[in-house]
Amino acid sequence: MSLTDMEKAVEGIAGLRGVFITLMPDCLLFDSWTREDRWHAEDVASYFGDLVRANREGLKAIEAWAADMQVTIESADSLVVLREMEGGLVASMVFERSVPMGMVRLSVKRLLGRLAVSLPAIELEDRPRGERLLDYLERYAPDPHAVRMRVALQTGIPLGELEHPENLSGGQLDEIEESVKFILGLDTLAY
Amino acid sequence: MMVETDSAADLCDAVVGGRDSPAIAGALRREHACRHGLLWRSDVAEPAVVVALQGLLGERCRRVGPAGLGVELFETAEGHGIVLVPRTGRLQLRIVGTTAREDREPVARALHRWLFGLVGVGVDTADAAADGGAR
Amino acid sequence: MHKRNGTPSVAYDNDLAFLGDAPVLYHCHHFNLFLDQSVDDALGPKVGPALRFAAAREASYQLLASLVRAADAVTPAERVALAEHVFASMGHGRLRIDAPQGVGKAVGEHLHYGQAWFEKYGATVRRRSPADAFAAGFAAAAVDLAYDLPPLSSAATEERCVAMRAPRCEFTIRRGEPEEARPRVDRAAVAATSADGWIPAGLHEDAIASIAATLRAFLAGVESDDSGLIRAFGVYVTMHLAGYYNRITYDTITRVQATAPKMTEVLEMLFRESGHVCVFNTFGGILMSPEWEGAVGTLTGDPAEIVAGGVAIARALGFGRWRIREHVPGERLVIDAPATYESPYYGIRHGEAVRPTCYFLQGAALAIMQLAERVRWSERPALTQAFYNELFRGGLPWRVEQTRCRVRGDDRCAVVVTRS
Repeated sequence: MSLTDMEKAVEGIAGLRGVFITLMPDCLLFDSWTREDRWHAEDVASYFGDLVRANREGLKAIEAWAADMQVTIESADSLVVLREMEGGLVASMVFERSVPMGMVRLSVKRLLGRLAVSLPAIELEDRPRGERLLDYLERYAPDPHAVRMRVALQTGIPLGELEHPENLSGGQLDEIEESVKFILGLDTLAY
Repeated sequence: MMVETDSAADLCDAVVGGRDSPAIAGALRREHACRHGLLWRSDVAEPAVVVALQGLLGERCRRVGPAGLGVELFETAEGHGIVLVPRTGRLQLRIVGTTAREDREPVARALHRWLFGLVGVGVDTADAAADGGAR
Repeated sequence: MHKRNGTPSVAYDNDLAFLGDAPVLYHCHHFNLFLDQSVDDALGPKVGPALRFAAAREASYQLLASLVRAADAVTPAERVALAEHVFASMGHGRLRIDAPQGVGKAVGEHLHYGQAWFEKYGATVRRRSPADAFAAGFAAAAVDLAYDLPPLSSAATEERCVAMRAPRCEFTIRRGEPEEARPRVDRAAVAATSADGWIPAGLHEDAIASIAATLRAFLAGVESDDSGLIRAFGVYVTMHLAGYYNRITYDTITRVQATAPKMTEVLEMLFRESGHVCVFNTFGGILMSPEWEGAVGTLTGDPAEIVAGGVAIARALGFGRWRIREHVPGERLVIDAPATYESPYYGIRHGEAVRPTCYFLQGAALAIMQLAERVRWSERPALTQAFYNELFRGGLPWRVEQTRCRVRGDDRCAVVVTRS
C-alpha cells in the first residue's frame, strides 16, 4: 500500500512516466508511482538519491548550494527532475522527453505542492554506519552478488559478522570502509 | 562507417530503393553479448532469401568455420562475422570487437542493409528502430 | 598440425587440451577477471598481482619453450616473433616486446585483461592498479627464452594500462633473480596422473561426445583477428594456460590457509563462484549461439538437454571428460570425470589433499543445474548481469558437494548437486 496518495498526486500530470520519493540520507525508497512495470523503484530511488547528494556536495564545494536546488537531466527518452523536499526527502520526477520544458516546470511545481500536502511527517533515524556502508557498496559494486565475500576476504571479517553490520566495531568499520574504497576505486565515500 | 568495400553500390541500392524490394528483411535487434553492441540478430522468414543469402555470401565474403554442420559462417573484408542458420533463417551479425562503442550500431545497421541489398530485399528501418533491441 | 596462421593446433587427451607441452583450455573474460580479482582480494593489491605475474611467467615459459623447440626457433628475433604470434593467436591481444638481453619494454594493444576490464567495469569503477599481470608474465617468459637468460628470471612491470584509461598498455622489462623451478605439469605428467582414471560411460554419452566433437570442430577453425582477439560462438574467449589458473588458485589457497585460515571457506566460495560466472556467460553464450542452433538444434529448455549440453561444452573447451553419472531433473545432478583441469596440477604440485580441490568443477556443476532448472531457454533470455544476479545472488536452491577427488586418492573427481 502506498504511503502517500500518489495516484491522486499524479492525476492530470501530462507526460509523467514515474515519481520516486527517496528518503535521505540512506537513499531508501519511500514511495513511488510509475507507468513502467520494468523499472525497479528501489534501485531508481537509491541512484537518484546518491545523485542529489553528490550534486549537493559539488555545489557546496563551489559555494553555490541553496536549499531549493533542482537537478534536471535530459536523456534520449526522458526528462528527469530531482528536487529536495522538506523532511529529508528527495522527489525524482520522470517525464516523457517530448513534454515541453515549460510544461515540465509547471507540472513539477504542481506535483511538489500536492506531495507536500500528502506526505506524512517523517522522523529521521540514522541507520548504523555498517549498514549504510554495505548498502552503498552493493549499489555500486560491479559484482554485487560477490561483494560481501570480497569484503570478508579483504578485511578478514567473517561473513557471519558482516551479516550483522550494526554490531561491528569502529575498527572493523574503518577496515570495511577501506575495502569499499578499494573495490570502487574511490578516495572518499559519501554514503 | 565500416562497410565500404566493393559492395558500396549494393548498399546504396538497398538504402535508396534502387531496385524492387520483394520482401521485407527481418528487423535488426541487438542480442546480448559479452561486450555491448557486438552481436545483432535478424530472422529471415523466406527460405528463398536464405538460399540466396547463402550463395551470395559465399561469393562476397570469406567462408570461415567448418562446413556441413548446419550453420554457415562468413567474414567480411572488414572482419565482421555473419552467421546464418539455413534451417531456421536466423542471422547473426558479429561486429569487430575493436569497433568504437558508439559506432557499433551504425555499423551493424549498414551491414544489415548491405546484406539484404545483396538479395534485393528492402529493410524496414522504421520497424528496426521500433524493435528496441538497438537501444 | 598447424592452423592456417601458423599456430600449432590444440591436442586433446581425455578431453583435456594441450598446446605444445602445456595444458590449456578456453575461458572467457568474465571468468578470467573474476578469478584474478578473487586472488587480489585474498592477497592484497601487491602480493596478488605479484603471484599472478609469477604464475603467468612460469606457465608461459613452459608453453613457449616447447613451441620454440618444435619450431626450431633459434635467434632472439625468431623467438620473440614466435612469442608475440602465440600470444595473439591465443586471443590475448597484441604484444610487442623489445628487451634485448632482458632489458627494455613491451607494448600491448587490445590486451585481453585490460581491455575486457575496461569494457566490463570501466564505466562504473575506477581501477587503481594495472590489470595485465598475465601479459607481463608472458613477456618476461618470452625474454628469458629469447636471450637464453636463466628461466623465470626476467621481471616485467606494467607502467600504463588501458584499464586505468591509458591509450595502451606499457611494460618495463628488467633482469631479476630467477625463481626456483617447481615440478613440471606438462602433457606427459598430466597423462601419468590420469592413466588409471578410466570410469564407465555416463548418461547421454553418445550425444555428449558427438556435440563436443562438433563444438571442437568450430573451435578448431577459430583464429585471432588483427587485434589478437578470438571470438568463438559469438563470445570473446582466450585460450589460456591451466598452469596459470591453477597456480594462482592453489597458491592463494595455501597462503590464506597459512595466514587467515578462517577465510579459506570464503575464498573457496569465490572460486566456486568463478565457475558460476563461466557457466552462465560462456556456456550460456554457446547454448544461445547460432552455431548451437544450427549444429545441435533449437533449445527446447528440457533440463536434460541443458545438462548434457553443458557437459559437452566443458569437454569441448578442454575441461576434461566430464560425464553425467546421475540426473534427476529438479532434484539431483552428479557429474564426474577421470581428471579435471585442476586435479593433475594439484596432485603434482601439492600432493594429497585432505579436502576436495576441484573448485571450478564444483561451481560449474551447480551453475549447470541452475541454468537447467531456472532459465526459460525457449524464450531466448538475455544473459545479462542483472539476470545473473537474479539467478545467483542470495540463497541458491542448490548445494554442491565434491564427494570424490583424485587428489584424495579416489578414482575420479565427482560432484553432487542437490536441493539445499
